[in-house]
Amino acid sequence: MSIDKAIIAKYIDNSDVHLNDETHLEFYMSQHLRMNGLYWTVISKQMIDQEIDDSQKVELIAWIKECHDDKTGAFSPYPGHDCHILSTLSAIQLLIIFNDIEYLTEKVFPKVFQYIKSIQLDNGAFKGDTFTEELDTRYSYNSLHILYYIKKYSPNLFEQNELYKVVENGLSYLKRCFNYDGGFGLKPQRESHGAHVWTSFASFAIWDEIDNYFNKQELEDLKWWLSERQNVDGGLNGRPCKLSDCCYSWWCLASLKLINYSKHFKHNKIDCLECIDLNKLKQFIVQCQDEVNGGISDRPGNVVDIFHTCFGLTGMSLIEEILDEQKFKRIDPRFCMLKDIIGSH
Amino acid sequence: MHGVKRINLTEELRAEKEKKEAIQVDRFRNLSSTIEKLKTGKDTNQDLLKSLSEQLTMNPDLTTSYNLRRSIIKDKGYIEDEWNQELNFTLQLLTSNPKSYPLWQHRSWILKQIDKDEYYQKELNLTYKLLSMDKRNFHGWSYRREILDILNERLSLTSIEDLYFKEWEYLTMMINSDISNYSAWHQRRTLLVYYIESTQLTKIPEGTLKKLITKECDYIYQAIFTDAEDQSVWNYMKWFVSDERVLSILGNEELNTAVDKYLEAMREINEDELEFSNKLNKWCTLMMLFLTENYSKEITKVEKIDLLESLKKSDPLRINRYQEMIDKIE
Repeated sequence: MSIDKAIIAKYIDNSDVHLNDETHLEFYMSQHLRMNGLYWTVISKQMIDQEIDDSQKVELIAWIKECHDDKTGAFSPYPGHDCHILSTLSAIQLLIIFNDIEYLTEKVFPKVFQYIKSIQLDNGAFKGDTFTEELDTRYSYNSLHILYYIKKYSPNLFEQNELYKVVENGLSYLKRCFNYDGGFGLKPQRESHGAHVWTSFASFAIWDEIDNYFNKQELEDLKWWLSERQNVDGGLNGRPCKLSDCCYSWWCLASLKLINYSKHFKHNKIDCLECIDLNKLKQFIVQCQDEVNGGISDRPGNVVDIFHTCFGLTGMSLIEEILDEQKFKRIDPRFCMLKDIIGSH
Repeated sequence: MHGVKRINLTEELRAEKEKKEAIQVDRFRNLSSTIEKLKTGKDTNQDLLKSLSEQLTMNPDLTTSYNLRRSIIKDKGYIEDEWNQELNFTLQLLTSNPKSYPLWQHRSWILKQIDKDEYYQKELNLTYKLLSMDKRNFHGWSYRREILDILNERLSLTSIEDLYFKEWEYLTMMINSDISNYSAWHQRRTLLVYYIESTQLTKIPEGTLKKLITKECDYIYQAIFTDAEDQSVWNYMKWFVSDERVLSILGNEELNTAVDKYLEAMREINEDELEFSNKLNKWCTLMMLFLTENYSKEITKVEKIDLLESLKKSDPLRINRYQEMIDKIE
């Protein structure tokens, strides 16, 4: 049993058509996350080596730019919707994938830094937009991830110190979301949750700051918490005593992978991923595949979607790297972007 | 999509579904164009709010529609009745969409605008209801924590004590009805830490706090016998015995006695399980290793390795992890 690339490709194309069909209800119900949806679609395509042709690329780039707010530098999830940091990161990632770096350095980065500063609170936490007070480690991740690209592609745009101040403050806050059980919650004091573990911990990895914020015991606790996410069906859950869900094959696995970045684990004989049964997890992901119509679902037998397809495939890629198999493209556990792309620019 | 079964629809059912969806598509499109028109018109606030309600009922995740709604409400200025209606509207939506981030956010905004203690206190009942439908709802627990924190800032000391006492009772009730409710154990821990850290601020006498914590030692002891398979109580125990704040109240000697008692219980559970299933209990064994290591209880290298070898059998998914632990000992 394995993931059938051809049938996955068919599913991605179908779902793409479906989501852009104005006669379908899904077209309206998913507008608020269309930019993220496009990112999940493109990553899924890349994972299985499916090319996006040039004419399609031109069309997509034009659409992304339609979502760009020239005043703030941020992006909305759909033309006419309000800007949000979630859609802003996805849009920037897509422009990097499509290699429109010039637009980013000229039109986006000079303004979006100000936007990011405007949604950061004094205590380092990030709001999701300029409209609400909602705080979430996801928004910290989005902001800190974008700052990485600003530093990378426009190193002279801002004073280094100014940028690092935002990063440092952001990371200190995320450390407060770290729990006694080894996980991270949505805010300080909140229960640990697999998705928040990744958004929090990956932020430290992006800025190469893991060892400045975590001692060995804390990382051991994190490794323990993450390894306990595997259920007997082989899948991973997001919290103790919950059912498995395919998307945690990314959130939890990528987080485990990132522990290897620490000096305390770098030289270990075995990769941190191997503290769970990777073959059983692989089997679980394969079981989530719709064998007739393609796509991957949260659990075997459930309705598939592009979100779970994306994170099932990226999780699979991390597993294959360890098992030394070569079916899927390699993915960077910090960014959820192809290693080829992160490394090549 | 989470938790929706994949089914193959017959032609007939598919056609019916498409027909239903087409009606909804029409409705949504009409609403969107009405909203666009009203946005540019004059004196349209009331109609706009109505259309936005309908639109949000169809899709409660539309961040942009909430933003518009809030700006209209701010312009217009709501009286208490209208705020109550807004609360009812979100309550209805929450009942069918308890996992919508922007919906919870909107609720939280309403409360902030109303800005009254009694409204915040009523919110605890709301989470109570929602959490009885889904005991682990992440949003519900997080919101409850938020409300408690806000009330903590607003109320007088005696009211806070009363509030937290009730919360403690609530958590005990939640845990007693389901020992595997990790969320409730988590909340219990944050509350206990709050109690300890606020003794200087509040008038909780130290004797009372010590009594509470001594009782907690016993509560944990009972819990491990209730369901030794469940990781919730073990994680709580692991925290409890290693937290310096707990230690500072309980004192070395008493904590040590508690640890001995726990170890005794674990041996007992393990013996039973060995007899019953020929395997050691995973959590008992892990915690025995943790406690002996951290409380310098007597255990030999060989005993440790034996325990870890047994874990490989009772928990084969994490076999490499146990091997790694064995390698460290050797």
